[in-house]
Amino acid sequence: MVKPKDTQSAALDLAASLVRPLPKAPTGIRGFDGISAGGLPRGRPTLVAGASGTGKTMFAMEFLLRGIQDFNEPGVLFTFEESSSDLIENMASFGFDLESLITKELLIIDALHVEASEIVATGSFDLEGLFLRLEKAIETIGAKRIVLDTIEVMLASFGNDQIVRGELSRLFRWFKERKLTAVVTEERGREGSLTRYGFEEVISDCAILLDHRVHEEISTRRLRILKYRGSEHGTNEYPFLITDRGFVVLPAMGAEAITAASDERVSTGMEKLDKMLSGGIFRGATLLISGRAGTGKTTIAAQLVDAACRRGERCLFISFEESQSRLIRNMRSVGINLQQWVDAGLLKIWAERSTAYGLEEHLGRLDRMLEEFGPQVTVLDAMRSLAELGPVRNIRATVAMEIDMLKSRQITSVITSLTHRSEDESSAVGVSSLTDSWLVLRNIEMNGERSRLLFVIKSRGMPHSNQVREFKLTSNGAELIEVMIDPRGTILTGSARKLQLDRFARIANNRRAAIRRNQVVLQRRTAVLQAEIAVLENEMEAASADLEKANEEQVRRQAALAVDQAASEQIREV
Amino acid sequence: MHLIGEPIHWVLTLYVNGASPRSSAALANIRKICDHELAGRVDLKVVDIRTDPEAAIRDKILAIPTLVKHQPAPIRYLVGDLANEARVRTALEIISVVDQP
Repeated sequence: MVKPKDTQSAALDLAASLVRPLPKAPTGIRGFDGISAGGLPRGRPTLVAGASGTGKTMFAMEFLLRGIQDFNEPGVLFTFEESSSDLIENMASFGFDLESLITKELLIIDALHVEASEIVATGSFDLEGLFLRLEKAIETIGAKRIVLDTIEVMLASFGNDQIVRGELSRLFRWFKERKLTAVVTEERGREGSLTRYGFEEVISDCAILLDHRVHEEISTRRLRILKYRGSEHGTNEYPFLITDRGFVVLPAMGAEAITAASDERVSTGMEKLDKMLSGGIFRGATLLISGRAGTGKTTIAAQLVDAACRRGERCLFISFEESQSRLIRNMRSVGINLQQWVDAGLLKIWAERSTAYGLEEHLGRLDRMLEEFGPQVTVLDAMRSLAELGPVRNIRATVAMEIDMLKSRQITSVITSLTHRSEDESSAVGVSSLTDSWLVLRNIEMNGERSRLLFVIKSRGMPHSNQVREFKLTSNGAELIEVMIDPRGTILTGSARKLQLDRFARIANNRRAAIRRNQVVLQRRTAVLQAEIAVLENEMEAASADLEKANEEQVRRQAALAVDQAASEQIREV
Repeated sequence: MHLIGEPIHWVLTLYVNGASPRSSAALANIRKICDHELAGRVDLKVVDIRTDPEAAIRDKILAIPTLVKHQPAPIRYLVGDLANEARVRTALEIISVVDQP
């Protein structure tokens, strides 16, 4: 994708990228190198802008530290905000040992925080002192990467914006001359402008915007690549997390992982349901099962998991509602033995109260689990529980992130959604557009009993049955049966269904008896008629014999007459 | 800020970059003040970052020229060529001294 800016420069950028691929410096930040097609522009400056607390420092630090640890590129940090000791402490909580990197001369941290109140602007100046300092630090450890963390606040206190602009341009050129892969962070400017001086994004080769919204205690972080000179890049807003493992851009995958949709079908473990879906759901697709409490959502999900484990696939079952032991026990009561799969190491049940963690931490833990366990099938039971963290409308955003994370790994997923009242199905509708197939389960009460119905509401990319099925929870799991419809078009389930079946059986019996009776009558009649036919045939034979005899007599007499006539004529002539 | 009658002494360091126009202007501007109002009550040290870059690094000086007022407290960094005389005097707290009887 090319950023849709003015077409001419986009075309030039594209042409440049085709002529020679832009060298890139991988950041090692999970997910980022995927959306940026390999990392930041090598040997060039990148601007990372965002309001305070959006994660700019975390992004910059991870770029620097992973550069040292994973890519063997020593780095220098100039921080204008934090003290070194605060920074060392903060980064330790993400598992980075800054002190050892400093000791090994792979990292230099230069904390240059100055109180703005101590600075008095008295006239024109340049930043020669800063350049000296940068030069020295870079030479000392042979740095390839450099981070300047919010330098603009200090520069603003120097007073002369025109000089600052000129010196910033010189600084960015200086990075290029020395082939330093640089990250410069900036607080967003006021009145909606991206940067304080309004041109930093112009002189940067790459500009990244970070955003952090907290709405009713749900935090949502987003990252967008605003520009990337000479390179393709994703233009979407990507959600990201700051987890105990650091910065994670979702869907947290490398560029190579974006694969074509699979044509392979995955069985739901219920033959008749597979038939309704013309063979099962696609691998990597998302199946939504919604319904009220006690409609059997978990059972259908467990059945699918059971089938997957039978095929030797790994499954992750995330249960927000039940503990592992309760889930296993409940499923055993309907004949689904999950314990065997847990024992075999194919099934991992992750049971937690969603309220025990923030949403961001939940997603971070999910990402980690997907990476470490590597499941082919994942169940989220039930997503509505996530909403305990905040208002219902946030489910969609969260589930969207979860689905992204699962899809990008080609994981077939089942999401169950608990609905309480009928209008709540609209919340499921909001999420359903993100999913590929959608089953709705409904309990109906009729004649004083409850029956379960299953509808296939949609199934993307495949023909599927529009019919409703009744399903039963038997000691062998869930079982689908065709529904009965009485002559008035009413669906008959449960004992009404049984009564109707009995009625049909009685009618059939009666008919069979009637047929048998008729057959006997027919046989008798046939015998009588056949006897009559035999008599008539005899009569007919006798009659025809008599007639033939009579005819012969007539012929003989006629001949005799002719002889007599001839004789008498001879006599007269003589 | 200062007790009347307290002997006030200024300790200043000016960081310059050789004889660049800005550095020369800053030096001339501060010399003028030191030679008049502050005569006899000031230690002015001039550091040239061309000959002594380590000093600028050690003292965390980023903008050149910068005049640091170490004494009297509080510390102040006067960034620029000291062309704005009113600001320089205020920052150096010279006005309060002149106002003293």
